Amino acid sequence: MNELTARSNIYALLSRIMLQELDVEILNTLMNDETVLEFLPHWKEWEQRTSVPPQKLLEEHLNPDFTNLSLLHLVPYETFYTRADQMIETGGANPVTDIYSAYDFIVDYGVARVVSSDHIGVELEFMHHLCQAQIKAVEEGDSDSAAELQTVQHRFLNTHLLQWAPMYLINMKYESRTPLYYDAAEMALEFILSDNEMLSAGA
Amino acid sequence: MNKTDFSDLKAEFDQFVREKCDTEACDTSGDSNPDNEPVPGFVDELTDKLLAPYHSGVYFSRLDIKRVAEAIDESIPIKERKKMLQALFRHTTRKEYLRVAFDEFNRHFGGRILIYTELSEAFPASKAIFDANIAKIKNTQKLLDQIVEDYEEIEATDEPMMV
Repeated sequence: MNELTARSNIYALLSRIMLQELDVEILNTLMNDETVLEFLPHWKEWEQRTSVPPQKLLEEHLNPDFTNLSLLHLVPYETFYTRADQMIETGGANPVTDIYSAYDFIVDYGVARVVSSDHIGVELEFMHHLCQAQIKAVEEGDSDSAAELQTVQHRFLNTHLLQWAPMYLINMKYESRTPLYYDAAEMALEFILSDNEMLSAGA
Repeated sequence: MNKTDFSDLKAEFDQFVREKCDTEACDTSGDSNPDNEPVPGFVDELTDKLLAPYHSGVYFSRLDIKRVAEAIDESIPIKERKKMLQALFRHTTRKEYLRVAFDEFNRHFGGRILIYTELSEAFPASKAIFDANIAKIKNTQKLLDQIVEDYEEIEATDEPMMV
């Protein structure tokens, strides 16, 4: 159960970092939470993390880097990588739509500020959503549902996230200009791959 | 800077636009735009196959293309990826130029193959996914070789209408 909760939390953290620019609240977590800092070694050692005021850190370093990595130079949408014409599928034909609907996951585009539901931050959040559902099933003693939800996580990883996210994350790592996004890219890549190892072993 | 300064700045800018652009001197929609100049025949296929991760197994970012250009002593502005590739190959006349440029792309591909191989070894459950990407890279590398092989050099003395 602890492992499942940890996985759920890591998916939530990565989703938040990848989805939007940071705000002061999440920055505080990233600056002060020792567990989180262990996952982000270069960020942890970065002198400016503690010497630059948080607002300045956001406005002059982190959020410009996020904009470069998510909007200007790289494309964090699945269909861009999986379609021959490199178009982002913004409508109901997006391949993630059916599985989101099947598990009551609704994307609020206004809140998420994404153009399509296959954004990396949304797909990571969906994994968090599935983990949370699995936690609930375990708590209620519903072992069949818990096992099914784990199978769905494995399937979603292999049919969606792993098919394209490594390409995005490798570029993100090498094009990042701040240790935070460098570490976040590496952490996300290694985490989804190691999660697939764990889920494949149990499949 | 206060509100008045912004108003002055806007008025100044509007004046500048009126003076410079009302005469169509800054119209970039015509043939004077270098992005609209024709490109050699191989460039369309190259941009389709090289830039689409679906075909090539990697994502070439604008900065990657810029680095390739710098490595072969070419200077191209950062803009849409397709236009950057077109700018890089628009004035190709020599097979050797193509070979050197493609060698740089192959170096990039080689780096990705190395990363994919390392990840496959560390995370064997995802090996099939990385193997598929490596296969795509190798197919794209074959395409680059084929383009070089098929390329016919243009001599400065060639009759333009016959090229």
